[in-house]
Amino acid sequence: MFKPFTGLLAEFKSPASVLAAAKALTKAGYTTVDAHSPFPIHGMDKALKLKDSPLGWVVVIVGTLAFFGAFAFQYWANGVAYPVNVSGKPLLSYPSYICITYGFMTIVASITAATTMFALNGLPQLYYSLFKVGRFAKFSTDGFFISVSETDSKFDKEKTAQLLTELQGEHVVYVED
Amino acid sequence: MTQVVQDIDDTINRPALVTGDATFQAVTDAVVAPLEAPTPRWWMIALTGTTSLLLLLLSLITYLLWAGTGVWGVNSPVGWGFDIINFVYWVGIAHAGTLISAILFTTRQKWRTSISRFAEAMTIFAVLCALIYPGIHVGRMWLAYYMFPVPNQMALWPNFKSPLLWDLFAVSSYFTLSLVFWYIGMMPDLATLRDRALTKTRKIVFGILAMGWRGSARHWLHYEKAYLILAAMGTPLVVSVSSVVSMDFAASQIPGWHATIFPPYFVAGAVFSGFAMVVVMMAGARKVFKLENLVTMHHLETMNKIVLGMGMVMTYIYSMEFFMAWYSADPYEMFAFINRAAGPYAAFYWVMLFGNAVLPQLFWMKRFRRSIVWMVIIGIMANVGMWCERFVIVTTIHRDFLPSSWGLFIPTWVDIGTFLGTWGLFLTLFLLFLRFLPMINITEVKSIMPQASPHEGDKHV
Repeated sequence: MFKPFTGLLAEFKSPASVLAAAKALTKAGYTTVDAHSPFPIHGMDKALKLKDSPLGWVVVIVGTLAFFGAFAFQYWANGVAYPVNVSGKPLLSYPSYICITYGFMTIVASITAATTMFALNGLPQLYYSLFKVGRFAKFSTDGFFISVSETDSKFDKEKTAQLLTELQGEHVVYVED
Repeated sequence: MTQVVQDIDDTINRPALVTGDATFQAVTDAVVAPLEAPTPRWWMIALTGTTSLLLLLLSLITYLLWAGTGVWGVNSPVGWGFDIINFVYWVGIAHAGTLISAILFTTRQKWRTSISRFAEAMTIFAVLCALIYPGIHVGRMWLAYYMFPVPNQMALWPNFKSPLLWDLFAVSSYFTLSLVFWYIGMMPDLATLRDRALTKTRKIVFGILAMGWRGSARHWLHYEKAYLILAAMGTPLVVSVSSVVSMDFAASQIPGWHATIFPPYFVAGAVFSGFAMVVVMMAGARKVFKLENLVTMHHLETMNKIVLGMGMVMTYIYSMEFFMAWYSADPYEMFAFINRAAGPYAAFYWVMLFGNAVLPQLFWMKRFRRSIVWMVIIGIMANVGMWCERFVIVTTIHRDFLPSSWGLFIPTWVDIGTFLGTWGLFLTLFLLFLRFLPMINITEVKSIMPQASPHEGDKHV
């Protein structure tokens, strides 16, 4: 879960320049490029060639299980374990189970969506090497950053730094974990 | 998708959503400023007042537990009094938050960004107030856990076919989803607070709450997906919660409590009162915290239009209720409605009609929609009206079929005190929220600003 990072960090002026840099780096063959921005930048996932998030599938599967689980449990509790006869209606009177089935599914699915998001992102991770860079704190206000990890097969401390500068990156620094 | 909305906006030429010094830094500064300023005096005074009311709530719940439900004005035939009135009332207030954050998100309404956090906070606090009532109105509240399917030695299970249990699940699913949505939406902003923190305590607290958020593109990918899914699940919930709550009344046999119109009726009423409440609170907050550039008159006007729209739906439903009573040709049903308008509780009926159907009509005129004074007056009256509506619905059963079973519900001081106490809880939580958390979603507001688009400058419509 814990993701260490050693590599280069460069700062960019605007969403447009950071997006252009991300595209150029990916085109040059880098695969560990990551962007850091105060808000999601439109088109960044495509620029970095990121795969679509599997989160939706997890929520659908867990939510479906919760849906049928809640329905089955209600029938079992009021129809099998302790049969409750309400005005002579059938024990499997499914319309009366819908509200709870739906409510329970929502509870489970919303918690699943949140926890899956944390798991896929490897959060909480309170320490990250980039936090040591003073300027990086700007990412949550108006800073746009690109980081390239040294695990990248194309990574070369000098050449990559130069490429980042050519792409209008500023304050290029090498960060060690 | 942002780009599509952006392009549409360019062609329609809508008013700017962020005015004044519209840089990213300025937005952060404007929202965070109240949290970094020294504690204002008015805040301390207000908190003293609201926590006193909160203490009143705790004392009266203790008194209720000690003495029994007899301290309330409930009786036969009005077996549910203030507890269900206020339960429905608070659930209604909550609705604006989910509507703004879920429905307006899935329909890509950009103006929602600067009011969503505020409204979501209201949702959570209002649902908390609402959840107190089912807990304490059960009579023997130490057995309230029977509402949950807890395995027990008697092999008894809750009756899942009862609308009262549907209520419990509807409201608790609403609470869970709203809380998760609120927190997930706040994480990037908590990171902002962490990165700006001036004191060590703040750094640690916000550091833990932000979970090490680093705005990574890979994180945003999963984050946005999770947010979209939560919004999608919240969308039907806006409609379902009040619908389920209304089943408590709709599924009965008593005149006035036997109507298929109740679910949409309750949903419209909930959205109406919720939006009116957001307008009132926001009109005050933007002034006090100098957020006029983020919550512009355009935002308030748009909300007032929704208040007007929902007011019209309410007006239609009030007329339709009378029509259905007449059309049913059921003398008891007809009497129930005439009794609402001319019986012992007629005053509540007419206040309801004035606040919900008559006064909002002023919003047809732009002058009233854009006047802070008027929108506050109409907003407050809408909430008074909506409270009266719940009172009217709940007390309808005071005169049912036989005059020998008629009676009156008169609230006791404990009833009234408990209601005031829930206001104490709501306002206390709200004051704490205003002081310690960003009341506007900084991240989302930035993302709708023109310079947030990476295609800035080039028009490709």
